[in-house]
Amino acid sequence: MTRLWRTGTPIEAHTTADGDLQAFTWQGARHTVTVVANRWRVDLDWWEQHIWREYFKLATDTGLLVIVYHDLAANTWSLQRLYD
Amino acid sequence: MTDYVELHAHSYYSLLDGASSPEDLVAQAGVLGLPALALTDHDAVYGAVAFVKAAREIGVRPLLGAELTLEGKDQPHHLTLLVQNARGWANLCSLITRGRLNADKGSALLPTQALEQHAGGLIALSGCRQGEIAWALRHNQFDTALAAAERYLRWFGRDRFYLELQHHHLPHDEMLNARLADLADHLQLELVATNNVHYATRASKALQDVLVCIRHNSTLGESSQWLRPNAEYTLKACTEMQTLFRRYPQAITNTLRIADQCAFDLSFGLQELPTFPTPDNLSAPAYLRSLCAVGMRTRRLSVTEAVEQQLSHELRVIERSGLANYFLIVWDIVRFSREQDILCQGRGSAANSLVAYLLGISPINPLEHHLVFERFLSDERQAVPDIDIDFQADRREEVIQYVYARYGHAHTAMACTFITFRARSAIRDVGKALGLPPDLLDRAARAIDTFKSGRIAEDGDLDTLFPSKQTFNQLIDVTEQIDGLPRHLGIHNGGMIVMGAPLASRLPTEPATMPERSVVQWDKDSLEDAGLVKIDLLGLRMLSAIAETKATVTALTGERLNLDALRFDDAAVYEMVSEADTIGVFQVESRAQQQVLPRMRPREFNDLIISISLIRPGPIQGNMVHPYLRRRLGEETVKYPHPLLQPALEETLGVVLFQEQVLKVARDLAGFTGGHGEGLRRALGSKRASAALERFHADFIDGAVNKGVEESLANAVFDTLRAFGGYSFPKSHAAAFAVLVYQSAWLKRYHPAAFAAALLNHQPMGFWSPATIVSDAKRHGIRILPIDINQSAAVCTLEDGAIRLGFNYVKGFGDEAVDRLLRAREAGTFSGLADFSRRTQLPRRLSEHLILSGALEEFGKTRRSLVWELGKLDYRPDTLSLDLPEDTLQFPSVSIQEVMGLEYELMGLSLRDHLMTLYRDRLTARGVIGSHQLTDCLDGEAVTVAGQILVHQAPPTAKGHHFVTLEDEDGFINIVVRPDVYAEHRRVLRESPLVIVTGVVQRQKGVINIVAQTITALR
Repeated sequence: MTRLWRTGTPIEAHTTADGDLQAFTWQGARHTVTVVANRWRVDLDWWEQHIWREYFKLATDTGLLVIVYHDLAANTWSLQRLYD
Repeated sequence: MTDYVELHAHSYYSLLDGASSPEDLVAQAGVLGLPALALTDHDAVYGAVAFVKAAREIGVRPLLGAELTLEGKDQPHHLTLLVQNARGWANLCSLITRGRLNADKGSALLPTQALEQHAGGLIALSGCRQGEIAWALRHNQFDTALAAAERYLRWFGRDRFYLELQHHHLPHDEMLNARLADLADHLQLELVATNNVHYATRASKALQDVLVCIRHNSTLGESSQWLRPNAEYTLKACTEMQTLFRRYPQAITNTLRIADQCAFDLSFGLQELPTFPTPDNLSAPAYLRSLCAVGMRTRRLSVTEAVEQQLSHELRVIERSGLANYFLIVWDIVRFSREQDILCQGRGSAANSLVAYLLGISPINPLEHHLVFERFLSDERQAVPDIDIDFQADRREEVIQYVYARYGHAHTAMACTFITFRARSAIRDVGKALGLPPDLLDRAARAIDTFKSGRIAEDGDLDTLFPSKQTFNQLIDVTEQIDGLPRHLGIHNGGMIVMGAPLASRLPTEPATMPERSVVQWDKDSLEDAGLVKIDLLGLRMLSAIAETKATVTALTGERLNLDALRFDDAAVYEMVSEADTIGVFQVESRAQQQVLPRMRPREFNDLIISISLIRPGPIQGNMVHPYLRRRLGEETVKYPHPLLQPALEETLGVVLFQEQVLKVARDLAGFTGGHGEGLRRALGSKRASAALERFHADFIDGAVNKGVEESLANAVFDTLRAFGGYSFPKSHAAAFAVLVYQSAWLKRYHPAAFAAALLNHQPMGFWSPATIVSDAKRHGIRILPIDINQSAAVCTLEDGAIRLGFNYVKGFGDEAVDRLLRAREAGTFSGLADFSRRTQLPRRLSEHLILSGALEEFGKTRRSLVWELGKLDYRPDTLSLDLPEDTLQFPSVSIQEVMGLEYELMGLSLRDHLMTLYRDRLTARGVIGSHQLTDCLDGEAVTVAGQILVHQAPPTAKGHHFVTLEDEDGFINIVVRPDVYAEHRRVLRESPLVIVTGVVQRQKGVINIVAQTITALR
């Protein structure tokens, strides 16, 4: 079962000085990134609801396989998909 | 300088698939410190010259190339080609030409195999995700990818074929690049990184998206398959590219290696013209000299010392410039035209040349008008002069086809031109992409005054039309950015390129929409900058009208008019022009001219030259018009900025009117040579030459100070030149045009009916509509006869001194319909509607147009009953010619308003009384006066007038003032609308055809204007 949050659910990100994601905190638990499987950027729909995000598909030391994104305009992080 | 060169960049010359100009790309490359940049537009080198020029100025090394579209099994593929040397350029040109010939207009599709023969001198990069290899790898077709790579390797060799890596932060970029790297390993190929740039900075992403939608005729919401998913297709700095390709460092360093392999310099020099065959193996200069000698006799020119000196000077410069052959080619075109009785004459700066006059190219003896040869050609001037020739528009194609036939289609083509986004097209196109409804966009497009899409937001209350502020702001934001961008390719009005070598080896060509025409991929500016000679064969409808008037007069009276023999001294002609009785006369019929002529009162040929030169943006912006008029009328003393300038400006009473005077001012005040002065003039007229202009400025001040002129005064004079901006006629051009002013005025004065009929037959032309030409003819006592199925000809003709309107004035009547009608009439006149319909078999719609235009009035029936009868007719060709029994139905006549409405709709004019007569009683009762009463009004008097709006102008030079011309049954009323009054009454002026204006009379030397205070609709 995959859980999907259409607009994402907030997480707290912990990044390196270069902006690379090291870990994030979700529902009070810390998850450290072990592998980034893929990473991509979107800049879409500027004429409606502008979406400007960097996505990460990654695995964590807690055994999660997730897609999180960084909203580059708002500088916020969200969890969008959790693969169970 | 950094260690990366971008080798794959599209400018807006990829036409709707690139958002930045070549200049902007180069500027951004400079900002990022890239040592070189390649321009690789889709199947085109449209932007090559501008790119090279901009790159040289900024110190970025320009690399030329293109991204070609290749035929593919499943879909077309892309391949990036870069030019290494001259051979590569020739091959690229040939490949583009071939690809363009193989596809519909606006696209290209090159058979891949064609690369094999044309790979020399070119470096191939395997292309973007649409490249043959990348596409196969993305679709897991590894064998196909391998075969394709081996094929390109065979054609281009190991040192000229690279696998192209791109990284746009898309989900599968890493995987594709890894596969490409594996393939490179396997075949021992090199990798290269590019960014497939589509805009200089990410700020243009929205514009790029909209352009793509326009290309696919789609909206943003529906275009996800074509829009790129992010804004990464921008020029990137070396460090960013190094980070993206850290696994493939060689791909970055190879960009420099490739740039070093490209050593092609777009040669800016004379093209190889076809060699004109001369008799007795004479050299081109010798033959030219002998033709000039013949010209001296035919022009009956006395051989004075001045003439001889000028002639030998010109011939020497022409020979040194290697242009004798070019003159012979032009002479031959003019010779052909004259032999075929096609009216023609040179315009523009060629009329500065005595040689051009003697060859019959220009109608003006430059010595008589003190014209400066250096404005046309000089030893210092690097650019090759264009020779522009006007031909009667209806026969110009014969001349163009003569040139194609004489030099061959492979050697001849027209210059291209770019149709750019203007305000109205931008609103429609951008709005459509934003998904706005067409009727809203139509209303918005009609509501704006400006042509520049960058200034739409300034246009009053446009935002009120839109559903939301956000939508309006998005529309404005993109229309501002899209202003002036090329939308699609067009064919230049008349610029022809002829070349000795096949064109395809020097410059890509592509088919034009017109049959038997092709265009080169450079527009006139690029051709000129590249030093390629273009011959402008322009169509001028006035020449057609003059030719037709002459033919009509000869046919009716046997008299052969020799307009070339007119001596420009007929007082009656000048009197007519001075009264501004000039509707239909070349160049002096406009509203602005009609304001100037009664004050200026031209009395000689030179006055006509000045008159048409006054109403130009240069003199208007430079504030030359009113000082000139005041000085001419003795209201102000003639003064010169400096005594040294008296010789240059004496003929124009101390103001700068002509382009040549820029040269003279620079020469006399600052010691410029002719060529240097010409450089200054070009910089003044160029939007892009600000740096060059500042260099000329410094030279000008230095030169003037050296001559003892005070620096502040030299600066003041230079500021005048700057305001003048070069947007004016050269005197030579004005002189050539003044010949046509005089000839057309003479025809209007002495053959008004024949001239008016000819004007009606060659519309659109000039300033006024056919309706105004007809009203003017009527005011001059010429009867206008309606269209008549038994009397009218295909075009307007003369009938007992009256003008009979022709079938060309019935809406929908093309050549075929007219031919059918005239052929049917050869068997005898039509006896009625049934007879007419059976014999012509014209579509009912056209017969109805004829009825409603009044063309069947002679049968004594109302238009309504004829339309009813038409509806009942059995239309089969084999029906017996039996008239149906008459109906007993009675139809009311069509009211006069309805008749006028129908006539305007179907013919664009009406022969009834003027529309205003219908309102006159009511208006008189309200104290509204007619145009004929204005002459009795005093300056400053308050009046109310009314009329139909004929002209509404807001020239950029008028600082927000609008000029409106009304017409009533007796003549014109000129209205001046100040900006504040316009803001208040804008909608009435834009939406009401008839208006009532209250205002104040302003009188100036025979010119009457009403300065509007209130404007209301007349209903």
